[in-house]
Amino acid sequence: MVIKSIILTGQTNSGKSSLTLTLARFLGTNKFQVETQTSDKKKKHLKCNFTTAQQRFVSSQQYFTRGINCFLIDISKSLKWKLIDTTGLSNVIAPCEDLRIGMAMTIEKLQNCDCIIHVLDTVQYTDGSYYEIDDALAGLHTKISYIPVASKIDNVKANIGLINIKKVVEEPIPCSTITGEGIVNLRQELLKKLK
Amino acid sequence: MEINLRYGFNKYSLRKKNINAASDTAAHNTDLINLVETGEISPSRALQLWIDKEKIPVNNNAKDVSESVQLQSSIDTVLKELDELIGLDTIKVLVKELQAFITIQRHRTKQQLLTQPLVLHMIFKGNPGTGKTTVARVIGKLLNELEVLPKGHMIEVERADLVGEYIGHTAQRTREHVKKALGGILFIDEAYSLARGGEKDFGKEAIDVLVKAMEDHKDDFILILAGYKDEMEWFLLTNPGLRSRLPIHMEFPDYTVEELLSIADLMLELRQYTMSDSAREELKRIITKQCLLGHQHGGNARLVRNVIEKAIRRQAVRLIKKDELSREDLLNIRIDDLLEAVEDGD
Repeated sequence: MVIKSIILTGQTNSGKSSLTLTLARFLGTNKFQVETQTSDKKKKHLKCNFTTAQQRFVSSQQYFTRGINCFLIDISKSLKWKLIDTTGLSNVIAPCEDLRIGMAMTIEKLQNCDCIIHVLDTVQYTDGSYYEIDDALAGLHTKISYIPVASKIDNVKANIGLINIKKVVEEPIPCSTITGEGIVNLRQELLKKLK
Repeated sequence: MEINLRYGFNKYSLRKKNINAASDTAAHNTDLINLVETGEISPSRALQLWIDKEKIPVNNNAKDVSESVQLQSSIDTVLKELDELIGLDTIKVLVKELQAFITIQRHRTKQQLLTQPLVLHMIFKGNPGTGKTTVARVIGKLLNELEVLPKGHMIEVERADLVGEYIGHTAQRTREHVKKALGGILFIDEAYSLARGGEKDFGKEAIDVLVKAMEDHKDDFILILAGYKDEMEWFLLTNPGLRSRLPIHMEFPDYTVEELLSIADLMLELRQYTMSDSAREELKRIITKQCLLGHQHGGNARLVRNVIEKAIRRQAVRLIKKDELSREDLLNIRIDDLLEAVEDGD
């Protein structure tokens, strides 16, 4: 059995958790097998459906994900994908220890994964601000298979954000977890990168 | 729930933690993770170090490593902010010279070599709207990152904030503003007006307090006196003692038409408006004409801001009459909006 690790990373509230679940469901999983690891390094295993997973793992609250959540997906009899939802990374040093540990765990996973999905929030990018962390994450394409995603493309201001995101990363895949736009393209890109 | 993150690197509360020399990639990566976990470098810095394969120096401790990399990163960020300002080429060179000078003086101190005293009080000469306040703010941030100023904030005042109405009032008000500026910059706009009333004017009292504060709080704040070039020259002539106490002089030239157009583009972009090529040509014609006619704000960003803001209001008046509005309508500033903005006068 081959297991490929795909890590979803980006800034806090960029839509990583929501995209993880949407992608997992799109890949044919209705019953999620999840391994969670919190900042105190304790691991838990649980099984849940999409709705329960949404309630448990997705929130508009900043830094809601504090640790690592791994979703195991059966792709074929001999292949599994491990979608890894992570603590959002920041441009600056976080004041809380558990957040710093969460971010350190994200970086550790980045160093050992097969593919990175870098999630950039189109809404956050509407004002043209520069984010050092996204620039740094974009630099990882030289080291690991890398897919940039422009999230929340259903938002009314998304087009402006998308223009600004294109200044940071090349050819981001516009995605929406609400309308499902871009999820097919994302799967295709993953299949290509993990061939 | 909002979480406030501390910017950059806390150089005042570093943990002393020895780390082993990283001789291979795995050890190097583990060290980076540890530095993020203990709050000694930011995640973005860790990623940059990982990508660039920078080696953590042998026989060094975490404080030295993270302090130098993070400090440089913060300084680079401020210098980038400076570089992003439109025009101001000579000012940018001067600020970078200042940064280099301070850094080298610090290295000389470490090597126990003679250093020159760091007197950083400044005179800014230039017309309004030429970027003086903006540059002063950037300098505040830069000097904070260079650990010259512990706060790097800026208190901006003018004559009316300092000069009182009765004897003793001015000194008290001026001292209060100096106190607020400790750890940062005291920026006095149109500073020449402090000498306007001659010997009997209370403005002189403010100057005396400022001179004393520069002695008493030599390393605690930086004074920037700003104003029109000719008036500031006159001001320094009437107060010869000030010239030696404010050794750094920066001259802010008026913007060129092309620079003003770039400023207009940036203003529109930040406000989420667009301008067609023909409208841009018209704006260029307007700016050129205003500069040639000697408009009071000709050659400075205020002229552009006034025209743009009025054009935005004219666009709103034009659009409110329409029954249906497209996204294009809401974005686009047309030639007639600009023309009406100029006709309005100011």
